[in-house]
Amino acid sequence: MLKSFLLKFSLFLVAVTALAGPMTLLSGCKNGAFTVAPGADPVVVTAEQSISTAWNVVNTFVEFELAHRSSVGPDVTAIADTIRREAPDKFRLARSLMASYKNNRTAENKANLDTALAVVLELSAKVQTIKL
Amino acid sequence: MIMSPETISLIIGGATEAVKLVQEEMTRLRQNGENTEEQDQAFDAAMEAAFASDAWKPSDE
Repeated sequence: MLKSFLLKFSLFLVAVTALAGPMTLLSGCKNGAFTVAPGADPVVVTAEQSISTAWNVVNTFVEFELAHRSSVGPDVTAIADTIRREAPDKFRLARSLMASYKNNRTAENKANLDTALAVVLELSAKVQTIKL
Repeated sequence: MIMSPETISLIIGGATEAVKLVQEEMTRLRQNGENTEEQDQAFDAAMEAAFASDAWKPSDE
């Protein structure tokens, strides 16, 4: 029981700390506290930050799972394996669509980018669904 | 309350990763401009290198 709680706490720390980045960013956008450098496109800046944060969450999680595989439960390893199988293509797609948007900033490209962003953020949110 | 060495190791591991992430996030959030082409290339290269690492190999492969 104690071990389970402490392990959950450790994973919680890793996931929530990393997720705090985009949460701060998004809340800052709403109240105007977040400023974008002159000439920078808020869509691009937000997308780059979101992808980077989602990447940090899932990459840290799979590294953590590998390092502690003998201690975490099979459910945690199963979630990590799902991420290992699904994440590469999804992150590559998000990065590719972001490059497309940076090259041609149309509403259609922005919509495609937004969809890809939602997918990678969902992947990182999956880390928080872990039940031990 | 007695903790096993394994549990202590897990806590230290999680906390260490958390501190590292906080530092990275703070650095990144201070940057509010678009990535340069070089930064994009570096990010993609780091991501691909990670995908090729042991941490990204499914446990049953």
